[in-house]
Amino acid sequence: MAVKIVGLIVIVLGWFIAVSSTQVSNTGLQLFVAVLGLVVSAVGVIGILNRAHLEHAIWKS
Amino acid sequence: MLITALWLWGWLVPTVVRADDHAAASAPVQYAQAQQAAPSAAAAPAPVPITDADLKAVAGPKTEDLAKGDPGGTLTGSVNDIVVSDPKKGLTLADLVNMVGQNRIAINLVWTLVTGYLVMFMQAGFAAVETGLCRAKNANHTMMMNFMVYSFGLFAYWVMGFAIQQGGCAPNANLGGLNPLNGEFTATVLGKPWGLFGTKGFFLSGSTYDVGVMVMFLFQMVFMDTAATIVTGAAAERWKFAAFGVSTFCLAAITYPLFGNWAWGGGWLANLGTNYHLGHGYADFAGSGVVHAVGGMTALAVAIIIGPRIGKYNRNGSPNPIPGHDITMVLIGCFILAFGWFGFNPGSTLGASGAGNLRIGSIAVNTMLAGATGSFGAIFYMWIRFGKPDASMSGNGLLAGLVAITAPSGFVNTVGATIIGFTAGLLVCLSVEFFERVMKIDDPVGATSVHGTCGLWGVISVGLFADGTSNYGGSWNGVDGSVRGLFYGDPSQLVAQLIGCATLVGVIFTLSYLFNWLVDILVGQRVDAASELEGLDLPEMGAVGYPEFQLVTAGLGRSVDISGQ
Repeated sequence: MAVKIVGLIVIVLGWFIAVSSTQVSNTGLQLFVAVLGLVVSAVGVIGILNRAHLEHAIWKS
Repeated sequence: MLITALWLWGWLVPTVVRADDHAAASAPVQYAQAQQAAPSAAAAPAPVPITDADLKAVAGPKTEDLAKGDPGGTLTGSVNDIVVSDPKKGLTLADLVNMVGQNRIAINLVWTLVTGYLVMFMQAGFAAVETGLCRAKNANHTMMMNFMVYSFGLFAYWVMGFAIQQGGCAPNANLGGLNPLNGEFTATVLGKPWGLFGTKGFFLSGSTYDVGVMVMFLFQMVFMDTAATIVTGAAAERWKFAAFGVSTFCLAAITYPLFGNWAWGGGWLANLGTNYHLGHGYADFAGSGVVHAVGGMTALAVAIIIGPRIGKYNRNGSPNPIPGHDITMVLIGCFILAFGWFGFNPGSTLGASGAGNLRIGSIAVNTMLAGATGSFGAIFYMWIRFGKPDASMSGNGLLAGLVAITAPSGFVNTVGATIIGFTAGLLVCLSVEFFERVMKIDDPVGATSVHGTCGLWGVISVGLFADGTSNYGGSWNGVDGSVRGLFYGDPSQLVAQLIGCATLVGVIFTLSYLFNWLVDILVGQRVDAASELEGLDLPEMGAVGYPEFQLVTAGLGRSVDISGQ
């Protein structure tokens, strides 16, 4: 349960990072920050949340 | 690869130059044509204002001539058919001008309705594709999910979904203004007003009982329904029917309308351009993000929660193929979807008259090209990787190309559409393998890859390939000029698109996950193991899809009698 919640927090954190690119003046930096946010969210889905679900996957039982 | 890259670069670079010089290059051409067509200005007669008296002098065909029939169509439709406001005064200039205005709106209303009907027919395509890709023992259940998603979704959208999404979308010049939809809840975030959700149109009551609003509702509703039906594929063969109903209600009432508002209803994503100078704001012409990625993200959330089917993975985690039962149904369904997409993309102009809407031909051609190259990309990948031109992945490639071109269809040229579609065809194959082998997510129809992955790719591709030639009334999302991507000189448009993608993953996925987690706790998402092994037709629906057949469940070492005897 706790890992799943951490995963969700990381996913939302990625969105905050991406949105914070609106506060950056340089377009190149904006692109970097937006991509970074997307990557952080993807890590939350793939690396944390899904992995937490796989711990109790039906094929492991 | 080098030759391919050079070929693509050869197409792109000259196009960049042409696009940059478009205004300057096109002006002399128009000038030359005008010189050939018209006499000199000095010889032209001075314009004379038209008066009501001039209109009364216009004679229509006589009744006795019309009574003879009009096989050539030269008499039907004349001054006699213009509606006059006061028969005593006869035809006036005001009548004529009002008729022209109403004809424009009528064309747009009819266009939007007819294309909406085409999108509605896509439900049949989704039903065929998903049912064909599932096993015969789940045919009734899968078909019924695709059937009932229409009713569940429509009801939820009528109650509140439409109001949340489009309640503040006015004005819309194509559909007569849509002035009753003038309520948008906004909050100040990062120093700017952010539109968060609409507040007009609940139950389509009050002032929203309006001809234009009804057309808008129908069109937006069938789009929402497309997103809702994506989820049924990813959770097929083990989803409890009651849980499916509740989950669909949540998507249709809340998650889909929220993102729809942010992108299409005047919300904060659409205003990234006016608020933060990021291109023309988040641009999603027909919904790679709004429809397909929202459906794909929800499908991913449900598939993670519900887990893989029994028999999909071995104890060591290696996947087993579980082939569908009817590939003919799958490919016919794909063709139905491709047909319906001609409503999806060209229909998203919300009109065929005025404000740059004659671009519908270009949008339709982009759509068919991307679909074709999508299937080509997928067959290319599968043939090289596995030695056979896989039929189901060819179908998914077609859909992937169509999904990807949905957002950029109104902004790109045919070369861009071809590249976007082909890339989507490759991407969907890689994505299916990634979800199945790395993430160990069981998605029987590949919905997460087709609609989620390729939906995100479609959103990003706007920020790359939009060529700056579209002109829908002179601006987009309140920013003057046309949408232009990175390859055509505006990298800030790509930033807006990436923020849209991050919102789909960071917010829409999270909301979908939380709603479906709650459904799992309250209702239970998954059927019991015995029902799953037997097939969901009898345990969940009470009737089998194919009652006169004895079905053998491959790989489980036993046959299942589903005759119901």
